[in-house]
Amino acid sequence: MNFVLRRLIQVPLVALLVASLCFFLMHILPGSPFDRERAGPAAAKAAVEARYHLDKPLPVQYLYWLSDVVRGDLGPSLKYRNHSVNDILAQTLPVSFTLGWLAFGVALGVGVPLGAWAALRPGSWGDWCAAFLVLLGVCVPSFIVGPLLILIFSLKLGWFPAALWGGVSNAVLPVTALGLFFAARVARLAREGITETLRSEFIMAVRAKGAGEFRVLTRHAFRTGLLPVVSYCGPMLADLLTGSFVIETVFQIPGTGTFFINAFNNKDYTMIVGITLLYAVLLLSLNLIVDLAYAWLDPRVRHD
Amino acid sequence: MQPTPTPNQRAWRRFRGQHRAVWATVFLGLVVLGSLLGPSLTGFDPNAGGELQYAAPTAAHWCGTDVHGRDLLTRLLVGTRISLLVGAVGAAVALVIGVIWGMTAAYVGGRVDNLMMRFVDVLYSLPNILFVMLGLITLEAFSTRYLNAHAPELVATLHLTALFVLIGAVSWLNMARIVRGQVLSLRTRPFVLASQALGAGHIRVLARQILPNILGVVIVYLSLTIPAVILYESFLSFLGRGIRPPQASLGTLIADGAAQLNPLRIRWWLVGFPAGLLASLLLALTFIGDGLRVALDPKADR
Amino acid sequence: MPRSWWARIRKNPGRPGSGWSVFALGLLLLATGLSGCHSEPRADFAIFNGNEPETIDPQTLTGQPDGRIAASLFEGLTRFNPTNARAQPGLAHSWTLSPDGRTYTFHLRTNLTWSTGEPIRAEDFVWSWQRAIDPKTGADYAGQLFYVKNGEAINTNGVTDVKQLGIRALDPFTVQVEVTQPTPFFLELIASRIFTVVPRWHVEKYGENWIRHGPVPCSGAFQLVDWRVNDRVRVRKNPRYWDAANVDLETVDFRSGDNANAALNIYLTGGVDCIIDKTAMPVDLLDELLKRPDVQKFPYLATYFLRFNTTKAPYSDPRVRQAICLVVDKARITARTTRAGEIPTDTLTPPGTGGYQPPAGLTRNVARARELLAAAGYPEGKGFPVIEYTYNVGTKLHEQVAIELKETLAAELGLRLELHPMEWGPYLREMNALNFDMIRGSWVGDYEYPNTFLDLFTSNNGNNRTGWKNPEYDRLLGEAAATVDTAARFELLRRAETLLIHDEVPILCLHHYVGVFAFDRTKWTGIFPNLIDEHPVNAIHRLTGAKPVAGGEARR
Repeated sequence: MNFVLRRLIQVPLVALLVASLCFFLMHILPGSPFDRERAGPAAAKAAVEARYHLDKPLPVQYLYWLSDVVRGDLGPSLKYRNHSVNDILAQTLPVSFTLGWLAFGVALGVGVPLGAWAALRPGSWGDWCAAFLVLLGVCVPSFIVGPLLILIFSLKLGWFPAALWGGVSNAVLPVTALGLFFAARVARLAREGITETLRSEFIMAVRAKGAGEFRVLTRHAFRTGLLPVVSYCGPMLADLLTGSFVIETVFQIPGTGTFFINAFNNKDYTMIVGITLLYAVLLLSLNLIVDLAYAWLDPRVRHD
Repeated sequence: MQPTPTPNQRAWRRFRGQHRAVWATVFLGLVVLGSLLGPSLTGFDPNAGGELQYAAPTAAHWCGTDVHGRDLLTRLLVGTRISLLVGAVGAAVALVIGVIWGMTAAYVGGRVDNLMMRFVDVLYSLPNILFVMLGLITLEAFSTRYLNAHAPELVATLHLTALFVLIGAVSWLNMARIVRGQVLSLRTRPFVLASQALGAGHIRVLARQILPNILGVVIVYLSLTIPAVILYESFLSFLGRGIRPPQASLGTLIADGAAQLNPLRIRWWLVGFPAGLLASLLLALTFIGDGLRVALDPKADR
Repeated sequence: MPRSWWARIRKNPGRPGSGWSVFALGLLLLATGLSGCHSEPRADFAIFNGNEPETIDPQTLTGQPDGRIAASLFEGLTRFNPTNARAQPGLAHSWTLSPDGRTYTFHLRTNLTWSTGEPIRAEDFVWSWQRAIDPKTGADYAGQLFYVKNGEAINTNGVTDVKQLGIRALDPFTVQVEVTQPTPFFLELIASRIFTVVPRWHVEKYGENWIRHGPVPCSGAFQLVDWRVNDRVRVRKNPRYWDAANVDLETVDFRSGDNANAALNIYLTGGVDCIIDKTAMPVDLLDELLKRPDVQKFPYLATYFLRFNTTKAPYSDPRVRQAICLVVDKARITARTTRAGEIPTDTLTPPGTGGYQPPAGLTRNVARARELLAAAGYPEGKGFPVIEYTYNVGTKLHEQVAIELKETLAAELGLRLELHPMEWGPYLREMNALNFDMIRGSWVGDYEYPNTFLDLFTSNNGNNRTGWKNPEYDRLLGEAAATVDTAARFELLRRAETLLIHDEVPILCLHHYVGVFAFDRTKWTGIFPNLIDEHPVNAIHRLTGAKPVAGGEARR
């Protein structure tokens, strides 16, 4: 219990640390988010910068930011001036999350059975199938897979919409394109893990005790063999968020990834720092859950 | 009577036994050779334009030409050179940081180990694109501020180097974990303890006793990092943060070619050749990595 | 409950069948994720509008996509005629101009109300214009109000009282405006966003983000329904708009997005009815697209040019600048890169801007270029430093232009051009700091008159960014501004432009833009080509006999 508590306290602290680092780095860099192609009156720029406290010394700006963050306010977006960062995140995060969860589901739902099958029947067509998927997923970038899927299944066959978000049919292609890459990795990990476990002494011992093959597999081989998959779930979540940017661009999906990446180009400080903070909190919490799941599955791990 | 083969000889035999890995090595060798010879092989300058805009593959231009009439094959070869360089340098940076970090953590142990590995865990759970973007944007600010005024010709080189190092700097986490695991088990082995008892310094023990024993694992992992780094660079290219034009990597060529996947007019060679080459390159590297793993697996001799 | 859950894990870590739980979890996530998707009926007319708007507050916005939305919500004294973008009566039904050309008197319609029912009066215009010029508002386009008396002084803090601005309400239905000098394009100028009327009480109540607090009182043909970031802004017909009888569309979606290929896919699969922004079409495919009956191009008041840093040797020598200008094959570069039939040019002002014909510029002459370069001390380019060419990334086009330029200069003059791609922010900073040799630039005209281009290069204009200061140029423009007779005025402007693009060439003009839009002309009408790319949404009509769009919701 102590372990969980310690980790729980760590989550906001680490997140704040990362976000603060981000905050200072972004502010030290030269330039203003209000640089425009058309040189507006200097007074206009000064007025806007003053409104966002950008004319104050950096430590003061930091305190302003910190006091807002403590109250749950990530500040106004400096690029999208009619929206606060909270507002943008409230609208876009559910979209990115749905996309991410679905892809996560595809990665596990497709990757695990495929990997298990390949491990149990090495050399069968299932194994080849899995190998092919792995190669496709790992060797072809998703910004090629995405447009290819659109071209075939939307523009040529007309089965699914080509872009945008909303209905279930909108989700099919982007989730496939995003999930495929991760399904490939999961399948690979699952295949290796289960193959390894099946060869291990402990499975031989279980078999020697006379356990049925089904029981051997479900109770022992899978449980241990899938541990690498479980420990990959944590980083996979982080990669899903990153990977979702490409998919969001290709499929014109109004998610958070686009705002995150573009905020760097726009020098939208509050947006970068805000999204970083939120991502950090979410990912660290999710990783905590993954760690607990790991402990649950692996009898050797004890958190005291 | 045959002499007992050394571990290296045994590993080499096992590697040779895997046809997939051997063919992959041959293919990789050819690609490396082609990328090194590059322009002299095709007879075109990778950055020189021509009248033939968007020419489909012909006898003169085997892979067709691009918007400026540049020979795509030449650009592919030169781009492969850059991609391989990114892979090699990125993986090398990851190797150095990862090995030092993992070895130190495991060797010192205790609270230091705990803290160092917790740091790795935290970094592992954050999207690494954050650090890459922050690094690149900081560097861009630096380069525009100082280099443009004093040495503008260095800007491109600086960007390239920064890209290599940054990609490596976010790819070392797995390496550190694996090395730590290995060192932990080696630390209490008799030969290490003996060396320490004989008065060898920590650095000496690490360098002479431990490093050689984790080399196999490190090589295997390195071979898996290279394709990951190459893919990562292509992803950055898609974000417009990859190699700077007019230089090209496989990543930028593919990112440019992705626009060809449209319903109106597909200039297939602009996307097909770069994507095909990248996929086969990554495939070859993966096969070689798998081959090395089997070859260097200490359990394989049992 | 959590306690027993944890205790169970602790005591019995190996629950039977837990290996399947990973798989089960995957399926569960799939199911919950899918239940989170829901679709909505689409609007009568959906427009692909380009980048996500930064703000749709008419007085602080800068972007073209932002402006299109704002223009549908707010109207000024005049509005644009959709066919030729000339001014036509808007909220003012008529106006008079004093004989000296300096005082306008506008007569408002008497039945004007906001979409929320309150009346619109002359005072509202006075307040809206004062808001636009007030430096505290931070309007980037406040410069457009410098034609109004005291505008510049107020905005640059010379005069602190915004009430000194040359606009007065003579009575609730009469607005009087004083301009600093006769301004032939004034009626078109005030049809643009920053001069529209906004609801004073609403803005004062909610402050900067008033546009996000509904219901927003609107003065235009539409009212704001909702705004989903990076997805769409939806507007609905404003039944209280004075010309509501002639507004055909009940609801309109402005879709945003920055991926041109996705935009095209959406359009081709019927997700939007119209692509109105050229940036939302893949440059690479423009030539192919223009063969389609639903895609149309038109000349557009904008110029693509390159700036020289005239404060830095050797570019401080006009002969060097002329040599580089003379050698560039503009037709070739344009044909190979932009692909929409842009018009190669030697002049800054597009031909026919407000009836003005620009003078002759430097036409391509490689032999003369070599002579000039040799005369400047660099025969065959020997000893010439590497040219640092800066451009912004984000669109492939600028990179392609740069590469073509590099080749031309190397082949014809033996000069080496180094490419410096930069993100938008650094690019603007370097340009303003004159930290470049040559840099990409472009300018979009605000109104159909040559001054919208030529004013840029006066010595003290903030958009000059070349370091070029020429007293004669300033004098000619000043003299032209004070001249009432059009022919004499244009002659003075032509002399100034000759200095700019023939004698001194601080800029290298490449081409004039064309605008492109796409919509099915058998179903819709009301979008017309015009020089300033203005396409009022209130003019869009469904052609009679055309069926409603598939999946469209019934008219409400």
